[in-house]
Amino acid sequence: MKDEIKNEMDELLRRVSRRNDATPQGGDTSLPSEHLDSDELNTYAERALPEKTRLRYTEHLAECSKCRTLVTQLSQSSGVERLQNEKAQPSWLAGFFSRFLSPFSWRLAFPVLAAVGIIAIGLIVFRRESPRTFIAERTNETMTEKAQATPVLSDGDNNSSPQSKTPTVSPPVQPQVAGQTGQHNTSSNANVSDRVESAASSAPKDQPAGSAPASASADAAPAPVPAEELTRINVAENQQKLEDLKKEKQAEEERDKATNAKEPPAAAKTRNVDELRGATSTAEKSTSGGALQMSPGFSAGKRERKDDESKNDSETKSLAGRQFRKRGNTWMDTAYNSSMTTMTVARGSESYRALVADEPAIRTIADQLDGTVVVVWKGKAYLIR
Amino acid sequence: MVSPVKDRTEEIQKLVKLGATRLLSRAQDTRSVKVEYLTPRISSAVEKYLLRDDPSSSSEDIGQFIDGLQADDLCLIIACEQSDEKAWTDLVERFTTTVRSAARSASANEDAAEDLVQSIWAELYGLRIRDDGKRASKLAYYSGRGSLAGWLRAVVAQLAVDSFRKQSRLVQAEEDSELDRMAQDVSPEDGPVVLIATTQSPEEAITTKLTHEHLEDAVSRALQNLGPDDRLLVKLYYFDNLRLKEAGAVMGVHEATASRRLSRIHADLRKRVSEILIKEKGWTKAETEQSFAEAAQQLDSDLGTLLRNESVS
Repeated sequence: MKDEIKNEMDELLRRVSRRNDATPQGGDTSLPSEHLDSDELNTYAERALPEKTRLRYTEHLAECSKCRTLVTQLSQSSGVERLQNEKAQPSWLAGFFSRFLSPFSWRLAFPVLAAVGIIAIGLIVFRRESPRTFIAERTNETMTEKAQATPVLSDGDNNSSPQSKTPTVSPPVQPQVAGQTGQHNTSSNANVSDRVESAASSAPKDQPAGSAPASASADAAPAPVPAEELTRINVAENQQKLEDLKKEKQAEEERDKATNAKEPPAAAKTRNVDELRGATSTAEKSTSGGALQMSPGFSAGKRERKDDESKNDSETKSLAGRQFRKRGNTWMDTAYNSSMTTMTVARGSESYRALVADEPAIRTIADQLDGTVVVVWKGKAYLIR
Repeated sequence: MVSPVKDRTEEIQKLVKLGATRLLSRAQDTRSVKVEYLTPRISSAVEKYLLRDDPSSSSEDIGQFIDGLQADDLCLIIACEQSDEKAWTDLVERFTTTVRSAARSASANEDAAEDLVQSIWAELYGLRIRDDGKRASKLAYYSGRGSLAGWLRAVVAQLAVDSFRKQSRLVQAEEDSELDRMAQDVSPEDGPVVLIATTQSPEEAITTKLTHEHLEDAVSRALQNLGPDDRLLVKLYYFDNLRLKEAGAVMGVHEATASRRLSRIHADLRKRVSEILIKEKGWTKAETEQSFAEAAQQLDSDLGTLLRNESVS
């Protein structure tokens, strides 16, 4: 229906327009007395008139083809000018988006984004490595002393494969000698002695690349041995010692299981093992302290080492027939689980005295373990502070 | 006792003076134009564009109107009127391109455009001297309500139309005499010239002619009864053959708005035309509907012919 009306009126209006074209007035039913002047034409075309005035001029334009033609021309040219002005002075937001979304910007943006991405990745890697470096630097000296203070064990088992026995010992990473010892970093079968050699061969940056690697033995080392090299040597010794102690511990644990008897010396040895393990791992950290220039196989080794470190960080003690593992400042009973009802008891408090009066073994545990202790006793957990 | 008119005049003069001060304060370059030079121009613009159609305009309306004037353009024009050489140099430098471009688009060739440009600058400078001793410059007509560039384009366009009409009158006179000669050359032995061939009988032809006349008269009258905006749209679209986008640009509305408005006008016109035919010409409703249907068919056949011609060419 709408289309029909449109067609009907379209034809009729065109017919009227054709008929009026033939008249001298050119389609205007009445000739206005005065045409619009230039200022009126322009203000109309630029829509700068108040509404009522505009209506008066519209009335004129509807009847005057001359003024209508001029206004049409001016509207089109002012429209072009407006467009040009808009192009020349776009709004802030439109300008921002047009600049941001322009292909030229994106062509530049991709390399910039790529560069930013590379820098970001570099920073992340650097940040992840930095604490390790600082810890290594801080602990370097103390751990070296610790390692030196530890009795050096015999080299009898040097030929055995320590990695097969102590898979938790992390492979050392020597970025400065990565090119020389690449096979050590990538080979999962590399043994500790190899790694010790590679560790020992890693020299300070200013050392010539072709210098002979230092001997694993402290005796064979040149007289002015740098602290870092000493640390590396001690790492090897500590690892060896660790293996021996671990063997002993395993044997004792088997005996413990068989007899279910308390063996404080074994616990002490265990502690020694753990201390040594900690010392070894820290010392190893110190040797890999400058590990900012990574070798390709570094990340995998790093992950392994991290796992090992988390294991090594926790000490284990066995007291009154219970196993305790140190997590931070807390000794946790290995039998503890979070679903247990936990009773908090402060050392020296009335409730503590009552508890140890009933259960003297708990006092033994609490006396021997400093800090916070979580004990599982007769199906109940006690948090002793 | 002070009359309300006088009271209003004083109030308006005060508002104009204040407005002139504000205008000078917001102009980037006042060109040493003083408030007293500005106030007559502003007062004239307020009277012409505001108070004539709305004498009861409020003080705020007058203030807003004055604040909408183009401060820098107005100062430049008044400085030119004051024979400020620098202002003239600036005017020519800034608007030579605009004037030349407008002259080119209004002229048939480059020579005519150059003539037009020279005429424009002469008109702006004012070659005639008025009775008061000042030059009769077209600059006096610039109100500052629209942009100076737009005003210059309007001056160029108007001058171009005027000069074209003068020329076309001369050409028309020559063509008329040529046609007279051609008419005299036709000898009576050639026989009568059949201008229209039709299959209709004379009665049918007269009836059809009358029907068309009634219908077209009714449409013309219905058109006159439309509002100014609707009438202007119809004129722009059907009489000036503008596209809807162009017609919308003249009226300051979007193409879609113009299209919706045109659909409404169609329905409105049809209703008015039907009323005129039934009430004044004595047509029945069926006859009115049939005439409308025939008009639509005519449009279809016209379009069909147009499409066929286009496909052949």
